[in-house]
Amino acid sequence: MKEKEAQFLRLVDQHQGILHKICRLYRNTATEREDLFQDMMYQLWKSYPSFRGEARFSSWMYRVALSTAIAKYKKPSLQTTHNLKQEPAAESVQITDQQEALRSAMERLSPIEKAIMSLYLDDYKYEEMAEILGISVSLVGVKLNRIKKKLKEWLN
Amino acid sequence: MDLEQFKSAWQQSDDDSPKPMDELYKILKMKTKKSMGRFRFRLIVESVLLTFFLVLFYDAFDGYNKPWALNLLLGLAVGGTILHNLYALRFIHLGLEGQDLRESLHFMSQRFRQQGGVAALLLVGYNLAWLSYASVNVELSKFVIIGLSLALVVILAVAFFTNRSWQKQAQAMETQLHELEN
Repeated sequence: MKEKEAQFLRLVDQHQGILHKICRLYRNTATEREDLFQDMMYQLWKSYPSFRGEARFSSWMYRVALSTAIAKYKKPSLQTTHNLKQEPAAESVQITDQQEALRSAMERLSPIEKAIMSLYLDDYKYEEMAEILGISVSLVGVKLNRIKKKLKEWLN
Repeated sequence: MDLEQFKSAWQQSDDDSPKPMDELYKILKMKTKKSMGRFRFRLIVESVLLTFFLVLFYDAFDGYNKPWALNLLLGLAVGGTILHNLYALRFIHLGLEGQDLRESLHFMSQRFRQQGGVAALLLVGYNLAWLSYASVNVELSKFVIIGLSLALVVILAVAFFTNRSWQKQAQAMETQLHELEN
């Protein structure tokens, strides 16, 4: 394995949780998730020369992964919705009913709203979110409030 | 609704089924996905066979004795088909552009629009060349004219639907972009 490849893989390995979360958020079946994972790895490796270390690797990775997931977004078919119930993601963390309800509500969000919400849940600062998404900090705030309001309405 | 609790559950799901390093390495070495690989294989085989056909035609069917315009037409038809294949192949391997999600979506929508236009033009071009080549030296009876007209309509319809499907993808990107910006 070449040094550059080894360095890239070490970094991806440290932050691969981001890729798994995006796969779960944007794709319903195991096959679709695996496909998206491969796509994201391909795009990350292709874009890696442009990573100059100015931002955190995880932020850069989030940006490329989200762009891949959304730019290649496909409307889920009826079959994939059905499979969602048959193929739950293997969870190592105990989640409550309320959290499960929140997760289901998140699945109803649009691809852009999902991106904003996942960055928020991963504790990214508004400035970082704005940089990843390419919009102003104030717009991030506005959008996040709208999404929270929407989730609240759905859950109540 | 307890978003803070959900936040911590979300962050802990990081360790959910991580892939071992050797699997990540295997994925990295995979140049294309299986489905894309099949598509690429088909395009390559088609292009090689067409080139082979062109060479064979010239030698085995006395291409040097045929009018130059006829040879040119055949060359254009085969060249156009191969060019169309190469253009599709290039599209598969293009990486993401843009410094952020908004730019990526913008570039992607432009790329879809451009791909649609070029693919449709190439498709019409090389099919017209094939059609012209096939109809040279054929007596233009009423039946032949109807057949050629029908073929022309089919070519134009295929080009129209090819372009439309790319434009639809571009529109989907623009809808995402609009949502992001507003």
